[in-house]
Amino acid sequence: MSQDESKGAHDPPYEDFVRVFSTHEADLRRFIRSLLPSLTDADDVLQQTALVIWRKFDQYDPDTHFMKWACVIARFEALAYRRKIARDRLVFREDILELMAIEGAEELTERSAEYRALEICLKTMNSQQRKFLTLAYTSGVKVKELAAEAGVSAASYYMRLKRLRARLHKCIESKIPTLENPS
Amino acid sequence: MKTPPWDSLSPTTQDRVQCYLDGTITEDEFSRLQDEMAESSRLRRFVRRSITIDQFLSEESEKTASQNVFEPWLTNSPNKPSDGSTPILLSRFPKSPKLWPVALAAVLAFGFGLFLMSLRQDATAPKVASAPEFASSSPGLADGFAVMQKLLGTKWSGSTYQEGDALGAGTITLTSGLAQIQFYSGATMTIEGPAQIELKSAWEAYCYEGAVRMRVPPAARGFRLNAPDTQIIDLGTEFGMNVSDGQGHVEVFDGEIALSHRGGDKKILERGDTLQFNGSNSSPGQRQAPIHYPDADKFVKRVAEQENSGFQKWQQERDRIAGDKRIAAYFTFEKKDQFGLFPNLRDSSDYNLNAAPILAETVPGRWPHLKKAVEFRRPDARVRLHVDNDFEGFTFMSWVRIDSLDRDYNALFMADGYENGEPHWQIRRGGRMMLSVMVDDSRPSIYPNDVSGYHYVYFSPQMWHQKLSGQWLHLASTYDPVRAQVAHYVNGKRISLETIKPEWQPPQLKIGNCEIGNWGQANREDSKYAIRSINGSIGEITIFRQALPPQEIKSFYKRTRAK
Repeated sequence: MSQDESKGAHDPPYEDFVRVFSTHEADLRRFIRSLLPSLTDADDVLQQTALVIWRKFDQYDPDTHFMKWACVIARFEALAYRRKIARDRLVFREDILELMAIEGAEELTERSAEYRALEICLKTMNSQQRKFLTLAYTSGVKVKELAAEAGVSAASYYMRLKRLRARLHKCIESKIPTLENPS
Repeated sequence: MKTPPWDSLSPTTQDRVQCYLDGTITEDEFSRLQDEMAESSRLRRFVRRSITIDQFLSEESEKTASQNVFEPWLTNSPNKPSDGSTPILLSRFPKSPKLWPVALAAVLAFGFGLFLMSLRQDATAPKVASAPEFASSSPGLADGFAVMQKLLGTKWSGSTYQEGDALGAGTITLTSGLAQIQFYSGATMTIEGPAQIELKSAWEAYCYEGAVRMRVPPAARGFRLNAPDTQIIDLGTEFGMNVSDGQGHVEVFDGEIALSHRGGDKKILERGDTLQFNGSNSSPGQRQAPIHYPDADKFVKRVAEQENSGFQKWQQERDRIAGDKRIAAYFTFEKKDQFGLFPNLRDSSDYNLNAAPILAETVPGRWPHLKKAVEFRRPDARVRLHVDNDFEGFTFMSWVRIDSLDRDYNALFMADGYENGEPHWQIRRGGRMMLSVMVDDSRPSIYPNDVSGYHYVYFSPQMWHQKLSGQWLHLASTYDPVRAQVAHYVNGKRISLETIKPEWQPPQLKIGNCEIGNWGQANREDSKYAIRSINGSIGEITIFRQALPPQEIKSFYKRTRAK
C-alpha cells in the first residue's frame, strides 16, 4: 500500500473530502467535459483530478469556494492529459483549452442554470424526440445503424440532431435570460 | 456578457460547432473553428453552452441505460416479477458516514473512477421505498443476513431468487418447490411452497403460511420463529411449523423449544411433542392426520439427483463443443494428465496444447460434487498455456464464479506480452468487463500512466456487484475486426456493443503464450497494475478463432448452463 492509500482511513478531514467532493463531482465532470473531446476523456481526467484533490486536500481552505479551487486543478490535469492525446484530431489547441478552462470556471452558476433549464426543456419535447436524443447519445451506438433503422441517411440524421440542439439552445435562451452574468 | 443566441451565429460557424460535437469535423474545419474561438470570447461561450447541452443529453442517456442494464441476468426464472421489484444491484457508497473513510481507503487502493461512478449512481438512484420486498429494501450486501442456499423446482410469486443470493429483511413468497435458507446466525430453514415467510434478521423470521423446518445449531440458540399470535424460541433443536389459514401446528423433532401463544406463558415442548394453535387457543396436537414437513435430508438427496442429471447433460454438450473446429482452446479443468497439466479438449491427445496450473487450486465447480473448477486465490496463481495463431477474430467465453473484485484489474484471459494484435480479457474493479487488443506498442498509450502502448479498451457497463459474489456467471466477449465490433455478454445476453474505429484496428490478431486468471509477475515494480489474479474460480473457458454472433453466444450459454 502506498502512502496515499494508507493515509487517514479514519481521519475526519477525509470524511470532509468525500462530502465536499461528492457535492461538486457532477459539476466538476461537466467542467472537464467542456475541455476535452469525450466523456471518456473527461472521466479519466476527473479520476486524476480527484486523486490530486485528495492529496492536496489539507491545503484547501474551507472558507473559499471549493469549485474554483477544483477547477484550477482540473485545468492542469486536462492540459496534461491533452498532451497525451494530442494526436486525437478533436482535441483543442493548448491556448484554446486554457481559455475555455479559465472562462468556464467563471461560469459555474450559468452552467447550473442551464442544467435546470434543460431539465424543463427536455420535458417540452415529445417522446419520439426524446427517444431520438437518448439513442443518439448512447455510447457505442453507431450513427449509421441508427440512421438505417430510422430509414434515413446519415446526413439527414445529423440534420435532425442539429435541429433538436438548436431547439434546446433557444429554449435555454428563453428560460434563463435573467440569469446571464451581467459582467 | 451574455451567451450569444443560436441565431446570432453564422450558419457556417453553427455547422462547425455541430460537427465538432458529432466528431465529424475535418481537420481544416476544426482548425478554422479554433481560430475563430481564439478571437471571439462570445463564440467560446457559445461552445461551452453547446457542450453543456451535449453533456446533459449524455447524462440523460446514461441514466436510462443504467436503469436497464442490471435486471436481465439477475433472474433466470420465467415468472419474473412485472412490478420491477427485482433487486437492482448498484454499487453504493456506505450510507453511514462512519464507514466512508474505510470505503475511501479501499477505493483509493484504486479505482477512483468507479468510486465516483458509484457516487453518481447514488445521486441518480431513485429513493428506496419502505416496501416489504427485500429485493428493493436491501440493495447492499451489508444489509444481508442470510443466504439462499439451495433451491429445488422453485416457483415464486413476486421477487425471484437464485442460489447464492444474499437475503435481507423482506418477504419471500414461494408458490411451489423447496428452498433452503441459511441464516448467518447458523440456523437453517427449509421451506416448502406454497409458503410466505418474512425474514426479519439473522435471528428472527415470521411464517404467515406454509410448512417450514428449522435446524438450529447451538450457536444459533434463541432463534425466533413467529406465526400468527405465536412465537417460538428455539432452544437448540430441530422442529417443524406448519401454518395454514391462521391454524398452526408445531412438532419438535429433536431438542426443545419454548412456545408462547398470544402472549401467554411459555410452554416448553420437547422431542416428539406436537402442538396445535389457532386464533384463540393452543392445545397439544392429536396425531390423527400427520402433518407434512419439508424433509431436509430428502431435500439434500433430491438436490444431489438434480445435480447428477444436470451434470450428465452438460457432459454431453461438452463433448459436442469439443468437436467445434473453430475452437482454439477449450478447458473444463476436470482432470489433469500425468504431468499435472489440464488437457485442451480441442485435442486432448496433443499434450503441447495442455495448460499448466501454477499455484491455482482445483476446487468444487458448478456441480460441486461432480465437476471441478480452478481457483486463483493467491496473487501468483495462474494457468499457463500456448495458443497457436490464425485468428479471424476472437471469442472468449467462460463460466466464472467471482468471489470479489479485489484488484484494479482482474484477469480472465491475458496474452503474455500484450504485443501488437494480442488480447487482454479482464474485469475492472467495480465490475465492468474489459476487452482490448494492442494496436501499436511502439506508440504511447492514450491512457494516463499507462506504459503499454497504443490500444483501446472496450468496456461493458457494470455487470458485477458484490451481491453476485459466489454466483456462476457465463461471460463472453467477442472481437470482430471484419464488422469492426466488440461485444460483451453476460448469461447469453449482450450488454454492450461498440464500434472499432479505424484508428484502433490492430494488425494481425495473435495470442501465443498466455495465461488464464492472472497476468505477468506479481512482484513487478508497478504494483498498481501488477496483481491481476482474479479472486474466484473458472469452471470452463473457451476461445474461438472468430467472433461468434449473438445467437451463438446465447446458444452456448443455454447448452452449458446448470439445468
